[in-house]
Amino acid sequence: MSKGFYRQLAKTNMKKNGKTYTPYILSVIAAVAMFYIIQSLALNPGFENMLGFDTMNSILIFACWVVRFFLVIFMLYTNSFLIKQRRKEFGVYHMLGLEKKHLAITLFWESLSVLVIGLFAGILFGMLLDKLLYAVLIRMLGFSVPLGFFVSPLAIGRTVVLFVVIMALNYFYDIAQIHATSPIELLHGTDMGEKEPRAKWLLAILGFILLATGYTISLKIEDPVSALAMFFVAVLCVIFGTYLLFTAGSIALLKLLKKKKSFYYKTNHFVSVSGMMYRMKQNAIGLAHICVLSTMVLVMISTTSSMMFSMHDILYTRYPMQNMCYVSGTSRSDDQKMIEAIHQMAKETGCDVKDEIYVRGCIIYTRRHGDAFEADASAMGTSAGVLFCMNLEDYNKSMHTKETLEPGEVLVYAAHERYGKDMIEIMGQDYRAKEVKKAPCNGILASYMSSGYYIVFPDEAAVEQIAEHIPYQYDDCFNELRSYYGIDIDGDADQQKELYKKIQKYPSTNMSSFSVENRNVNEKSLNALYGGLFFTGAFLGVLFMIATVLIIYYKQMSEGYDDRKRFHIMQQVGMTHEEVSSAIRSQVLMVFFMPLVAACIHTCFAFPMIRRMLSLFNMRNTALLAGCMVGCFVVFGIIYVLVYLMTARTYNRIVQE
Amino acid sequence: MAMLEVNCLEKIYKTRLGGNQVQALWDVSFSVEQGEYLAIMGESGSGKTTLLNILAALDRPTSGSVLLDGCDITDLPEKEISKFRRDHLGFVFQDFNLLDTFSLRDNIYLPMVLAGKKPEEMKAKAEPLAKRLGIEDVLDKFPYEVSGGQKQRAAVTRALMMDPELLLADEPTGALDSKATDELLQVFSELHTAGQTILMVTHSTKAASHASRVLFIKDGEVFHQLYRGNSTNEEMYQKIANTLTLLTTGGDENE
Repeated sequence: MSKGFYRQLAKTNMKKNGKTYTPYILSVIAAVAMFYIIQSLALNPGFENMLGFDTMNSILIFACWVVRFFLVIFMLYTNSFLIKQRRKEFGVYHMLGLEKKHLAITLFWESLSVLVIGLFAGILFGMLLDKLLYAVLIRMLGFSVPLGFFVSPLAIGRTVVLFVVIMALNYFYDIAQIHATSPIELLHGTDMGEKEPRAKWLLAILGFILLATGYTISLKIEDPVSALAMFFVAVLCVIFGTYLLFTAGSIALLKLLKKKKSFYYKTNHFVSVSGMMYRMKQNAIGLAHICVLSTMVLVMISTTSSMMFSMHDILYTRYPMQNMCYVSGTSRSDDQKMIEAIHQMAKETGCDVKDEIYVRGCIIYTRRHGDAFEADASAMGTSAGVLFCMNLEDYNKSMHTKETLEPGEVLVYAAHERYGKDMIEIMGQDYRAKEVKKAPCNGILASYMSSGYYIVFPDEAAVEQIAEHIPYQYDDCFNELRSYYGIDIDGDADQQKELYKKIQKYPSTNMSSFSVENRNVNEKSLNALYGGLFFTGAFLGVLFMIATVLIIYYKQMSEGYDDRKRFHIMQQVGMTHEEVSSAIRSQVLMVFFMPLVAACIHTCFAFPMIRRMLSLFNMRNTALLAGCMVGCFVVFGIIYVLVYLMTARTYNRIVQE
Repeated sequence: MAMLEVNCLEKIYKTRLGGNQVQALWDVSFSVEQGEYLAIMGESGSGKTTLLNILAALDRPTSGSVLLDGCDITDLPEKEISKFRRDHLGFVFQDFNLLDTFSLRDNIYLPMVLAGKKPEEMKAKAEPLAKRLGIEDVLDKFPYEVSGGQKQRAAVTRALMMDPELLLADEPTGALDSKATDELLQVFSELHTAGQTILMVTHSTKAASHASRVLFIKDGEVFHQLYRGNSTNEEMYQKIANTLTLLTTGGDENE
């Protein structure tokens, strides 16, 4: 037989299997384009001169690996699905005298065409979209878009290599499938009897416990640092819980319903319950995938977008003044000298001092027991509370307030939650607590990654007394007072930067430590971090979305063919057309929307934990976070419903043929 | 009055674009009396299945009428057809048509569930029937776990659940081995003796030889019919075989 014959056969095969081949080819194109884009962005030299490039780049490189890993698994899954649908066709060819060898050649041509079409169209789309996304990303990071078109040969090369490998793996899998089955099996293909699934009670209960644990962790943990540490535990619990509940739990529940005779033997329950049982057996894993992916998309996008949107707030909390100095090992008069010098520098840049804060105090790591705080060095960097003690004069000057304190009274400000108690015990001494709503440089404590409290004592002597009583904590400097100085000037960004550079040069010979931070400089790197995270989140979100859509489409298709036969039988035993349609529709709806509903519930339970974790990054706008989450739900939900409507049409056509 | 009356039935199939026409039934008329066991024979393509589909109200004739107890089923509106089918007709098919997601018990219960009966009622009805048909031990198994004969007997049980006036069987022995065929035909004979009206479409001489009357269809027309009279099954078998020989080797000249 001539070579042309196989090519011809491959061509007709692909045309005839249009219903399954078209989405497959489209998914290959999309996959190629997505991979090319992320590679090209990671390699784009346009970012190199940017501040925060390193952060940005490492996020993109990480995303590359996630995408690569995901695509391999996803493409293998899709292919295995496609080949299962075509077993009967291969059986017929086999009967007609095509040897397995010949089928392999035909399949080779088919795979090659898919690969060539996919790579060509995918890279073309990828290049166009790449330029667009690059522009979006650059704008998001607050830079202007450079002209020119970046085409990365290395990205093209990597894309080609990855997809050649994937298609080769798929091809070998297909060949192995054909070789492993006898012609008669091929001919019967998909219609072999399936066993009713068994209820695995233990796994179902375990799944329930895991899910409940994950949810409880999220709801119960109050302290942000432990929230950060426990987040992954909670995530793992919820992921495993989801898989177990979708697989074992759903079937156990259906079995339970089936046992209840008065429920089971009702027209609308009868068909649905047993139908669902088989659907869940075949689809549970796929649905759990969709659920986990959707949850990730929702959490990722809502978190990163809310951080993007509250960037301004975050910056102003973290850096209350444009330039912030951190000094230790000095006396108050040393500080005064420094401040005068800085004023001089400001004058040199030609600007007036607009506002400034100056606070001298000590930081103590403590554990909180009710309203008592007890110094504990092992609490460093973990949980409990960090106390920042200062005096009233500094407080009032910096905050422009006129707070007063009676003897035995202190001001208390809690950085994360409200303090909410009348008394406070510090180092074994009781004070009356007067809670205030703000404090200077409250970003300082937030950066210590703990729930922090500002305690304002009447005078410096009291603060010094406290400092002397701190037990040895890693470093002597904890026992002495440290100074924080922030200054805002009336000037543009360049002048601020000039001042920043000058302050950096201030001789720190008499100090044990001196450092200065500038808000604008840090804004760029924060932008790169949050922007990069948001972009990556959205990008992966779109990718997972495409995968979700395809998984759903293929599931619907294969079920359509199975359902067609059942549909027919049920009509013969006296079910009306409408009854059958509605029974099938309700099952399909349930299967389709279960992952979405579960994902929404997961995200809702994740909310308190995410909120606490974000507070570590000075993102405290709960309403904004909630808004971003709802926004993500809505957008995601709309896309999901659209996909459903589209696939439902194909499905109905198959069933009612 | 006859229980089932088929008058001048005609069915023409058109290809989708209306180009070619195929006439499956020309002018079929016959009647079935209460308690009769009628077999309809004919070769593949003779129009048997078309006829059965029309009798089952699964398909509509191009012209003609089908009266069941005086009610024309070709006139029933779409909505009532399903209920009618459920209440008055029982079906047995060549490939059993059991739902593979249900146990035999649930398959048998299906028509009663659809009719909204109580679980106790279903049990009371199904278990004696299943016992009579010899499948009481496998009721809780699934279709893929039991033999073809057992599947077909489950299908018969399902068909009888609603006490149908007419039991329609389409090649019921087509997918069974000879032992299972014998057992199933025995079941049909017993049902017939008990007063059940049965209409069976088949091209198996053996299956037809159990019937009280055999109707032959060729090229969409009723060609001939045989009455059992007092013949034994063996004599009936001979008669049918002879008729079939005539039918295939030149019946036209003899008629």
